[in-house]
Amino acid sequence: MLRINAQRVPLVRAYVVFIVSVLTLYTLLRTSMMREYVSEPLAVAFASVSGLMLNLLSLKATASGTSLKVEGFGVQIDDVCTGIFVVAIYLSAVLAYPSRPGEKLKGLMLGASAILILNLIRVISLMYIGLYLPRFFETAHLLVWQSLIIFSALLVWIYWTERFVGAFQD
Amino acid sequence: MPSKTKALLTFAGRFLLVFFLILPLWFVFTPTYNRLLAFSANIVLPFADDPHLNTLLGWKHDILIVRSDTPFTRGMKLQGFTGTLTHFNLILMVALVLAPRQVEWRRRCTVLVAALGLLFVTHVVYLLVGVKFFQQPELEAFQDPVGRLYVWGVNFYLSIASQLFPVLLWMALYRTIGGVSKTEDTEPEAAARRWRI
Repeated sequence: MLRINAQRVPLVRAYVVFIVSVLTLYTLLRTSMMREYVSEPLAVAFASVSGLMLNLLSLKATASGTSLKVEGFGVQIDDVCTGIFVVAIYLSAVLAYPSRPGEKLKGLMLGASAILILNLIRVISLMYIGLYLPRFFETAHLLVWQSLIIFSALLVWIYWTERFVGAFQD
Repeated sequence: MPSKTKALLTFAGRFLLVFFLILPLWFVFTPTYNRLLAFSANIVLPFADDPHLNTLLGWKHDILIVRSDTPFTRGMKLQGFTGTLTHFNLILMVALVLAPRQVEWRRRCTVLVAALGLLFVTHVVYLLVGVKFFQQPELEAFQDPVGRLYVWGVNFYLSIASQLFPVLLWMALYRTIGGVSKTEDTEPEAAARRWRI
C-alpha cells in the first residue's frame, strides 16, 4: 500500500490540484462555448489593441475581427495565440500552491496581467518579424515566444510565492 | 531592489543567455535527433500499430510516416511531424537546468541527464500517439472515444504539455536532486526561501 509521509501531504495535494486544474481548464477552454465567449473575444481584443499599438509605432496596421494586417503582411490570431492557455497553467499553479484566498487573488491578477501584456508584446514583435524578417517568423512564433511566455509565467509565479505568500496554511 | 527580485532577474538573464546560445545548436542537432527518435519509436511502434503498417523516418527537420501499404512514389504527399515542434522543449529544459547559479555542477549534470532522458521518452510517446492521431477521421463526429483521446492528446501536447512538462520536470528534479536541502524542504515557513535561484 502506498504510504505518504505526513510532511509530504501538502506537496502531493498541490501536485494533484495542479494537474487536475490544468486538465480541467484546458478541456473547458476547448469547448465551443468557451471559445465563443472567452477565446474569440480575447483574440479580437488582441488584434484590435495590437493594431492600435502598431499604428502608434508608425506602421499602417488594420485589424478586423481576429485578423491583423500590417503593410501586406497579415496574421490570424487564434485561441492559442492569446496566451489564454498559459494563463490557465499559471492559474492552476496559483490554485495549487498553499496560500490564502486573498493571496491567490493577488497572484492571479498579477500573473494574468503580466502574461497578457507580454503576449501583446509578442504579437507586436511578431508583426515586425513577419514584416522585416519573414524567414524567422515561424521560429519566433511557434518556438521562441512559446518558451519565453511559459518561462515568464514561471518567473511571475516564483515572484508571487516569494513576495505575496506568507507561511504554509498546513 | 530587493535581493530576491534581483536574484530572479539574474536567473531570467542567465536563462535568456543560455536559451539563445543553445537555439542555433539545436537547429544543427535536430536532423540527428529526429532520426534517433524515429529509430526508437519504430522499435515500439509494432506494439501500438495493429496491423503494423507505419514506419517513421527522420528526414531533415521532419519525422515522416511511411505506410507499407502505399507504394512510395515521387511527389507523393506524406504525413508526418514537424521535428522542431516535437522536441523544441529540449531548449527550454536545458536553459532551465543551466540557468540557476546555486547548484553544483555534478548535481546539475545529473538533473540534465535525467531530464533529457525523460523528455526523450515523452517525445517517443508523442510520436506513437501522433501516428494514431493521423489515422483518425478529420470530423470529430466520426471519431470513436479512443480516437478522440488520441486527438485530444496531440492537441494537448502541442498547446500546453510540450512547454509545461520541462518546467514541471525542472521543479521536480530541482527539489529532489537539484540542491534544495531536506531541512529547508520540511520547514513550513520556508516557502519564501524555497526557490533559491
